[in-house]
Amino acid sequence: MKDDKIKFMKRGSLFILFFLIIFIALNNYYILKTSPGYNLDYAFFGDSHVRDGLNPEFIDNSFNFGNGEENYIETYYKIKKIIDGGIKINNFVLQLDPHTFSDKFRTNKELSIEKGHYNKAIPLIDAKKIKPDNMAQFLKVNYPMIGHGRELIAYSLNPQDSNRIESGWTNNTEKFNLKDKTDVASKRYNYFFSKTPNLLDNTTIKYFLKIFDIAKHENIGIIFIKYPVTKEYNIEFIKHNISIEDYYSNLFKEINKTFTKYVILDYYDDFFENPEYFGDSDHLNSLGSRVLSKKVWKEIQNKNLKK
Amino acid sequence: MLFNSLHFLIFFPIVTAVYFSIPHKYRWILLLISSYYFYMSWKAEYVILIIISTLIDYIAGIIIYNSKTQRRKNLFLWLSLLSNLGLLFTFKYFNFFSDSLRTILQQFSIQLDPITLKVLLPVGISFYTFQTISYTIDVYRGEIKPQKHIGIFALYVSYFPQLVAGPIERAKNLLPQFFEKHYFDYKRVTDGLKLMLWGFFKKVVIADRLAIIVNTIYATPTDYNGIPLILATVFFAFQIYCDFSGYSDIAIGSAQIMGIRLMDNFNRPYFSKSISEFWKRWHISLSSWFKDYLYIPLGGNRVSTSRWYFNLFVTFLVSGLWHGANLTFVIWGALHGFYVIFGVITKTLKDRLLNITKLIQFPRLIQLSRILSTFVLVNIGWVIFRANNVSDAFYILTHLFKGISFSSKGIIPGLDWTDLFFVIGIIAFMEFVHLIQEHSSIRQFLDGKPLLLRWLIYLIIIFLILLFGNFNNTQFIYFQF
Repeated sequence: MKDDKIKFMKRGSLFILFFLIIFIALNNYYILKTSPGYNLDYAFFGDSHVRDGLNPEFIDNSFNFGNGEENYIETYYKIKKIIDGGIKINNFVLQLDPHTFSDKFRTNKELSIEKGHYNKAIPLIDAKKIKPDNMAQFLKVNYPMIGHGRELIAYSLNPQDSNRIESGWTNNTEKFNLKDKTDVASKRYNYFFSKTPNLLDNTTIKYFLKIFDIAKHENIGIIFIKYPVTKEYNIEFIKHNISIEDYYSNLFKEINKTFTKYVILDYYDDFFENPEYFGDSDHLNSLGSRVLSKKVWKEIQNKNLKK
Repeated sequence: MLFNSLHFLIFFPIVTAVYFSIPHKYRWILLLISSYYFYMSWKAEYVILIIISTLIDYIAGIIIYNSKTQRRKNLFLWLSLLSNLGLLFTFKYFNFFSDSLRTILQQFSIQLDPITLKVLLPVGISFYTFQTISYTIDVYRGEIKPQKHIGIFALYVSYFPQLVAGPIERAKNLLPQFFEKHYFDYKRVTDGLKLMLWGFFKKVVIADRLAIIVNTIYATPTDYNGIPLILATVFFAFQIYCDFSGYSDIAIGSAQIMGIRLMDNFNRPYFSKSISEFWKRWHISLSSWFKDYLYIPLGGNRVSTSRWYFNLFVTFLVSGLWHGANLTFVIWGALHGFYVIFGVITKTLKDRLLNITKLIQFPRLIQLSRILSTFVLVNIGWVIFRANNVSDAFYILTHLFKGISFSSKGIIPGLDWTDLFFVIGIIAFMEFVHLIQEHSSIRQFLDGKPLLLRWLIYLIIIFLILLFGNFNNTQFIYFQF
């Protein structure tokens, strides 16, 4: 028995060593291939609305840092890491949606954690504050290759086809049109807004405002985007007596205490009559993101926002 | 705790390391605490149900064994059965029967609002109650002696690798193994690890990837026609197989590492040449349970022909109901009962037809056509099993061959051709491994290869899991049963 244990330990250790060498090499390769450029005019931040909604292909020298279910605590650390890493950014393009500052968005354990490729920077102690499942988060943050085999192969085999990896945008191929719109909207609404969450969570707001400190220090412009949703999704707010106007009014009161030099691009109701632009009630699909990205680029040029 | 969670990947090596480090006499304590912890990490308070079930059958077993009269034996057997089935009924079936009663009464214009219970279905309740029931019946039949060590008996009921989704073990197989002294055996441990690895591959790479497609289509089947429905159904056949057999492999492999042999639960079921063979290869521990504790007590096939058919039908009907409190499961069970009876009735006719048409001269062709036709019949059953309700199932079955549509983007929204070829590729890979296993042992096949080649194969599988696995802690399908 003892001999067997020793044999197992020896072979097991050697096997783990081989595994780790390949794992670390592949993971570093993945991180390297998915890193953004060093000078960006526009860096988009936010959650899956951003990730699916803005295709940097249509916006010069931009990068989409959006990630599913990301909140502003994570974004703050991500931005800090990016700036500390020497990446020069001219404009932060930040998401301002009704659920963006919700406490449920920060604390609900049921919400899956979809850490992306770039938020390696969050210290574990702070990660704990963000989402409870910190061990899983640690792995996703430090070893982003896990679960991304398709992207890894796509990049290796056909770098030209990997624009979505390089630019951070995700191609949402779902079609809201094919679904029961009211049902989807109701489910999506309940996902974030059931049990009346606090829509302006203090912790999230605190970290959000800290982003302005970085912006001031680095002389970076701030652009806010209200991402489009479907008519059915908006009806859910009305049905549940949530006033979007009051929400934004309270939010801007908070923002204006710290920072006033911002630009707002509001697309909230622009696509109410275009369900074909959506993957579900509040995520743009490939077609919608193309339309929105072109609109954003046009507005950026018209308002001469590039510094 | 899910096998495919980070939690388990930390829990299991710790338990195993401690298991082999402590003297044999204390191991049952470690396993019992670990098993309760394993279960409680899902919903702590429901461990009470396991403890109740354990106590009932522990006491019933001893009383039945010591009873001097048959009447007393019968009494305590029934008490045990009623208690276990009562728990199962309350937590799993009460609302189903309550709703069904209301629906039936509504047909007669009687408005009644029966009570419904707002309770969560305890994970694994169907598995551990069946395991304890089999113990009490075996004691009653005199096939085993009752277990006097309450700790070991509690471990038999709650042993974590097979607690929540089987295999449903028999006391005469599992109980004695807890008294055996298990040494650390290199071959056994590494074989167990390989089996676990294969189970993880089936679960996180195949089943969870297929689940994305299947769930999308089965959520709103009326949005689809033809090929998407066929694909989703065939994919579900592989999803449920990989999900459940993957779980069983992880369970059997992890027990094997500790020296405990659990029974096989799957034997490449989609290679079956008839529905009765399918049930000898699919969820073997449940099929054999129903055979031993329901079908044979009903009289099995040693009765009149009509009674035999009745016994078969009832067994499959109850098996369907075991899977869930829903009409779809009952119909699914009845359909399989019908398949088996129809197979029995038409056997002579089929043999005669083969002789007349001289097809008997082509045994391979016959074999292949039987495998394919069985697979089609099983898939028809899976439509009913997976559908959200009977009307969805009906829609799917009637629209499988209506409106065949392709687009350059793929056949299903959200699923492009690359995804489709990838899932078909991994299914083909798994079936290729199964094909090898039909003829020889994959373990022997691997053992004959040089160490470095073997390691390369294991590393490829590990990296396939890491790169292509779905790590959203997706539950195993059979947890709901």
